[in-house]
Amino acid sequence: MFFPNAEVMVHPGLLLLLGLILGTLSGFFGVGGGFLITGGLLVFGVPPVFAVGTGLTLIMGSSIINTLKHRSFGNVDIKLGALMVSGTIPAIFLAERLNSALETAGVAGPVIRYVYVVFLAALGLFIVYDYLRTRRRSGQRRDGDVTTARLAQSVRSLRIPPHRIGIPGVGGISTYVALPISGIDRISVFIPISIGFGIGFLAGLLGAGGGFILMPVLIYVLGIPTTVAIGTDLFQIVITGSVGTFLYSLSNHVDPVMVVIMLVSASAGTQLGATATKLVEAARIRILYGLTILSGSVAVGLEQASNATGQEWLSWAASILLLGVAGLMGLVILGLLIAAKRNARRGESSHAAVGSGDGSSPRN
Amino acid sequence: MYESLSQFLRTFSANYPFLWALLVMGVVSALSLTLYFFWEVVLRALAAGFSSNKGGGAS
Repeated sequence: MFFPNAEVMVHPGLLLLLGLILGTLSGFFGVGGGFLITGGLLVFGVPPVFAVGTGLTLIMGSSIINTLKHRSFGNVDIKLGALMVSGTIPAIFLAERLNSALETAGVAGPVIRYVYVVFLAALGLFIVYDYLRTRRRSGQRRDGDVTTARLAQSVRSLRIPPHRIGIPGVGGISTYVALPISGIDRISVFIPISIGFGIGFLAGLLGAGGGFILMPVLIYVLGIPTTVAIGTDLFQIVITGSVGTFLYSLSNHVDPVMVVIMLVSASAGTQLGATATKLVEAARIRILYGLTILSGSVAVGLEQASNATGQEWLSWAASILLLGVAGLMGLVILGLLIAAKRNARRGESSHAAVGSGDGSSPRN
Repeated sequence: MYESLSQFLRTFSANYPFLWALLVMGVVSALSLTLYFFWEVVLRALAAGFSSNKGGGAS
């Protein structure tokens, strides 16, 4: 099929498959999946700038569906998301300015890619370490258990001045808010704004959406439940993705027909991924995310090696690794969902059997 | 049909960039909402079908 804006021929079946994988992973991990979609479109022969623009537009669409789905599960903290976005957007613009300065100095490309590899590897290794450590510490592991619980408690209890802001006509307003959905009784608004700023700056510098950094930060630094971190992260991606979509559309680097095809299958994937977060243990979501991030770091490393040595096959290996791991994760999520559903059904039937044995009415 | 659509997409995106950007965002947002509600309806209908089947089997 020929796509008029990108001026490229791509089989629609491949786009449907890529959309399905992206939707599933995005709904399950709460990330935009920019690295996956751009890599996939590049493998299909889409020109790089169109791969980025079209990918961002798809991310915006799938994040809207995912956010609505997670909101119906009570997983989206809109107050927290709005506070973070107010820090993220100016930071993205600031980072892009710094990027341009680095580019002028001729150090942007390799420096950014090396930072990206190290950052992804460190993040992935930490998540795997946290999973292993919490599992070893307690035989009966609870979903909320993370090794950084103390750090999260200290961050939440930070008191940052000014404690009140005077607004003419309104009076003094406290700079502390309660975030009941995230399980936070009282937190300074400057903490989520600063986190949003830091993530936005790093994401802008690395040329990514930032969802892959924000999700673990919310879990490990703010101590937010995994499912709420996923939902809130997606809400933030809707905003940042919209900004990116607008900018890339303005420069005519988006192919809407491609987006429509992928969005249809991504919407089916989001149902699968988001529903799985309700049934799969939070610790399992985190370890699968850590492994995906680690494979992402290897893929970016291979890409960098390809650029440095001029070996084209390394770049292909990177894309195939990325798509292979993403496809495998999609299957794992499907398997976990089926297993969880089966367990739930078994639990229901044993409840019913106990209930009828006691003479009480069955519960269903 | 697809030829004329392609022609429209090419000329509109090249001649009216601002309107094009708004159109892309509007279409993607509207399609996302439609797909979300479509799946909600489908899944609810499936769930209702399964539970009525269960009820029928039990009685």
